[in-house]
Amino acid sequence: MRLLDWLAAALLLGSGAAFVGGAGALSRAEDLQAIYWLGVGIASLRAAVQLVRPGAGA
Amino acid sequence: MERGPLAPSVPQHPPEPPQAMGALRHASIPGAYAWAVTVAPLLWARGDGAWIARLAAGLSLAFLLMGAGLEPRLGPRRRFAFLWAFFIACAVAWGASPGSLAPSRFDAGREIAGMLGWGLFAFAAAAPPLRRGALVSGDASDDAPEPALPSYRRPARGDRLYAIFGIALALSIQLVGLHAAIPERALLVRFVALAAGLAAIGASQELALARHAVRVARGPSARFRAVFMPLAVLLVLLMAGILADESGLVR
Repeated sequence: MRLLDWLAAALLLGSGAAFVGGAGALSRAEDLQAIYWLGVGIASLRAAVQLVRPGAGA
Repeated sequence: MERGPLAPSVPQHPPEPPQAMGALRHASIPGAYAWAVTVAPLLWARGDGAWIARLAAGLSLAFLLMGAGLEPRLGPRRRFAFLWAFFIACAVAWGASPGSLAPSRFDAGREIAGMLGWGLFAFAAAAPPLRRGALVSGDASDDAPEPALPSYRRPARGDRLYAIFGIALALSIQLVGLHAAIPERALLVRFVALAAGLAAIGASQELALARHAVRVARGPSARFRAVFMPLAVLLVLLMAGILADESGLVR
């Protein structure tokens, strides 16, 4: 595996953690925090996929 | 197309794209989700006919998993036998435990989550069966597809790990927010968790497939945009969160 693959896997794991935080905040009715963590999760997921797309390799 | 430095390690036959998998295998994940939400509680059913409900609930999951596992060997007709066996076993489980269907036992969040699960399952199971040969070769004719090479049928090393990682991530997201106070809030949490889980599974599949793609060498500016921009957006978000937290904006 290349370094970018490891980084993408770490970002995917981070997005999962952010989604967990977002869903938890949503269940506690902390909407602003939920929106923030879900946004971080989406950005992290997007970054993970973009990193490994063909043509992105360093 | 110019090949990058990793081009020699690219396998001769790329892995099977997810669209080429069978409909039942695709539908097994939302099917298992729907089963877990609506049928699994019957495993602990009590009262008259409870043992039938428990047996049917267990058998239904077994039919679903067996159908998904054996689909490549079964062919389309026998695949539908397992699909209907899954449906009928679920129906028998519900029918054998009528107490569980009483309005007083209904939970709004679970109901809607079950509806979403069954809807996704129906959508995935009703997907048109895509012919393996037509997808791989791009030939849409009605001729019988050529048999795939043995190396093509084998999953590439490490892909299974990506799939397990994505599924575990999706399942861990489902475990959050199960005890929301308001039913509407619980429904929103379940919907968000389900969407996030599906996104995580999709991203893990993309990561697995990208390992086998031919790398295209690009200039430094294109490389910068592709690699660093998504990370920059993420870092800006994280920094904004830290600053907002320290300034007490979100409290």
